[in-house]
Amino acid sequence: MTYAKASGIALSEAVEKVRNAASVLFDADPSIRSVGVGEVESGFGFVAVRNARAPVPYSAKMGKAIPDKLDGIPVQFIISQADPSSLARVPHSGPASPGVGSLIPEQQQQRPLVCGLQIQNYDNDVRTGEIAKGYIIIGTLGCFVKLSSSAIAILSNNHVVAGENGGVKGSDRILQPGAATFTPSMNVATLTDFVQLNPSPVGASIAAGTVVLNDVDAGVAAISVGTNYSQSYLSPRTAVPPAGVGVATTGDKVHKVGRTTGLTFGTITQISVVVGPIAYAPGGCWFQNTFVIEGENGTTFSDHGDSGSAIVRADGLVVGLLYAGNGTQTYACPIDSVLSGLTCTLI
Amino acid sequence: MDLKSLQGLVNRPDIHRAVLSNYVGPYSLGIGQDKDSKDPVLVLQVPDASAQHFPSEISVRGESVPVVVKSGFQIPVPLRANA
Repeated sequence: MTYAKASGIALSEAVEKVRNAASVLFDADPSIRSVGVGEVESGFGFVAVRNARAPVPYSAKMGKAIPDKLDGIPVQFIISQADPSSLARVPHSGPASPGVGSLIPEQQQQRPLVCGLQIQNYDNDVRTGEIAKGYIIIGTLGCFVKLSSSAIAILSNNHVVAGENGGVKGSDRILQPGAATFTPSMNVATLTDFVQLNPSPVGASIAAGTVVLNDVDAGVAAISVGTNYSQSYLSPRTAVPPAGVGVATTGDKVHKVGRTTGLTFGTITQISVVVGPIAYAPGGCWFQNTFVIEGENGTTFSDHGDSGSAIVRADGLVVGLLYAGNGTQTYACPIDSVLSGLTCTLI
Repeated sequence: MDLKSLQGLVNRPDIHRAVLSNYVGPYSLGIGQDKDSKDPVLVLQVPDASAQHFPSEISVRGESVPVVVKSGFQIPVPLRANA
């Protein structure tokens, strides 16, 4: 990486103006991947990370001038050789492996089990070759439910605990937080059931009546005997934990605790959403009755690895299960559809 | 139109045809809330709202339902490890 030297200004001034700076810089240079506020020589300034290897159309290169100051605030450029990548397909060893120096406590091994913890379907990662490639696939433990068998289970997404339909019920072992080799002390549950993800044919459309609509992306794993659990969050999290179920409505203030972004707050901006096609291993999947959450004051509500988080309203009622996002909007399936699809109840 | 009635209609092919016409591509169609009146509105999100004409309202059972079209839509991805 290279750094451009510049003089700085007060942090508060830079933070106040960073959104406008981001707008100008992203528009001026298509190779820029992020804009933020960082320390420069004698204060703070804007820091823009540019991917030197990003393919940029010739017409874009001939476009606007790249400023080295915006509103009198210096812009410092950092040169990267790659785009930011998924945070939840993580290397299973080395500095970037889960839990190493992480500030998110949900990424560590925690007992009793609580909502928001990092989990992995270990056997599916072996079967699909992810571990052999040096990665593990992780997501979030949403909350706890009681199955029709009366067993207590972890609730998360199909694509977290059931390998996008590839999981083996009654056999696949769920680890918390997850590892490249099977570690008995991490084995907290066994995959029990999931709602099948149904892809639509390529080019299918709702208008033509050719789309197969999915209601939920959900799966459950019965907790192992002797593993303690609590329908709550880790003690640093000050939000109201799950306590009952409710129905999502536009304007509802909600929160979630997830493995990647921790505790975040947002507002439900849309309900009864039909969306697709979303890329899954079986094929492009369309969903109905989804609802959309956007982070408070433009903050990020979720990111890769937060899949499976329970969406909880300010009064503690669980209204949905997070399953997808696009960086700006988070998509969740309604909790009543999840529970009925898996024939279980929230404890 | 009241929210409950609209919720029962939003995944119907005829509603999607009325809103999308001959649009082909990823999109999201749901129900939002008008900032001022708090009435339910249809919210269509597409990558480029200028790519074709989308209606600002559609008629459903004789009632006019506003359609808010938003550009810059990026299809969501499952938020687990690897896609």
